[in-house]
Amino acid sequence: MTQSPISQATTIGLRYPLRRVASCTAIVGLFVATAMVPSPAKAASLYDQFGQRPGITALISTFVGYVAADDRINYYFAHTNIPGLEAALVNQVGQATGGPEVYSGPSMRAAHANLGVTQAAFNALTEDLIKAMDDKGIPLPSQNELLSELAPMEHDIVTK
Amino acid sequence: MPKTPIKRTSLHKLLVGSVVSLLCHSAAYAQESPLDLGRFLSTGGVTTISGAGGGGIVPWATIGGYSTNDQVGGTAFATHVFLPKFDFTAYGGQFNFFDRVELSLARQSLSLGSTGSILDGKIINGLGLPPSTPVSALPHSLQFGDDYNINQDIIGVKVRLYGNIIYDQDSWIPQISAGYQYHHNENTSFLRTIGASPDGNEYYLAATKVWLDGLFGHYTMATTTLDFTNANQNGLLGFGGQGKNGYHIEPEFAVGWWATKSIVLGGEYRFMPHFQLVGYNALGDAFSKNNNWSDVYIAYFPTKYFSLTASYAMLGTLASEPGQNGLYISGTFSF
Repeated sequence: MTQSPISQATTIGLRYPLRRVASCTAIVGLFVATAMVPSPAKAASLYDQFGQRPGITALISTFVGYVAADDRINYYFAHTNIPGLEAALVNQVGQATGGPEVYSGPSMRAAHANLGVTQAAFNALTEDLIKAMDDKGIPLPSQNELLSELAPMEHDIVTK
Repeated sequence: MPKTPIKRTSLHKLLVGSVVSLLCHSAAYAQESPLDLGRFLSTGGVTTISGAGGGGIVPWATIGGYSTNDQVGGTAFATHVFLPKFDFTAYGGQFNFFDRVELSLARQSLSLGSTGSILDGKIINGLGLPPSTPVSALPHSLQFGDDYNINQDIIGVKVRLYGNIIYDQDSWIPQISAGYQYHHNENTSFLRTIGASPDGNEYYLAATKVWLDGLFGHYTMATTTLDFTNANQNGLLGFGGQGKNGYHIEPEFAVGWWATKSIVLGGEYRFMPHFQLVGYNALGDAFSKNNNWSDVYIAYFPTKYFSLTASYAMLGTLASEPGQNGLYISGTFSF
């Protein structure tokens, strides 16, 4: 197995002077880490609805593309290792939807403590995720199930 | 009686003020604009006939528009209700600050049209006068004629006290807001003649819960509002009645279900206080009769900038005319 995306991100963070890496693991990863231990039955079916690992990988690729093109928030990610970010996100969404993936990065609160993430940025990122889920044809109830797990992360991620 | 001219000054000032405040804020922030519509589509709701953010007749705990906790914004709305015997129009706007405070201004007009003459006839009959009595024999304040409007202006403020409809998915606690509205009805002599006051205060506490993963996995909303009021027909027939103007606690309810991301279906119900108007006689009983208001609605949010609501509004008996139920059309613009 290759180096985990999280440790990649950490390496990048040390190499680059800005807090941007944190923001990437943050805003993104931040998203998923907190609320993810749904009941096994429900979680398994949600993971299936997202197309398991291949579906989630494609979803995250589209999602990160939207974020990169989103002038409202892409400056948070100006110095981010995008492949590493995508790998981390796949693990996070995989875990959030009940898959076997494991997110082992820092807590959302710790990861975002100094980033000054705004509610508007949190929402913009979520809108990009929703757009990507629409693109991938993920059924609305499945989208909403994921969103209802991610939404409370606002309390840990948004500090402004 | 001539139509009361519509006052535009207040709204005009409001608009100028908003532009100025927007410019000031733009200069202060570079990267993230405080003017963006940062909340999720449809989460600001639409605008009630009284100008508050909510549905059509019930204020919700939501702050109107789309400003997040570090943004300011505003809305403008216009509403028309086609009732069998009346036409009802409302328009106005809001300023919204930091998803926390909502300031609103609205103007309502109930146009009596040819129903005014019918009411004159009922008054002549109710006073026991011969049917041939000319309208001019009535007290001036009860001569409606064919072109009479009942107008009221409403200034409102609503403050979000606790909670967030979107982020608090891990809690049962709703978003809770407190609101206040001051109503001024311009038809002062008419209202005093029937025993009501033209000015009224309304206080309310609203709780709104949204489940993102709600009914059938779609967004689902429920609101309960407690209204502390003495308004007759929301103030169109003034406040209080013969010898009494005490406040009543009236519950109001609203539900909504997102059929798609941009289309919301729902309904509302509000209880109304009941005061005796005109006098303790048959004519008074007829004019005092009112019903609780309700509606079923469909709201369409094609973008954050504009929403369109169509509803079947059931206002029941209004100014002695029963069955005042009809099509309600409303648009809200957000900026």
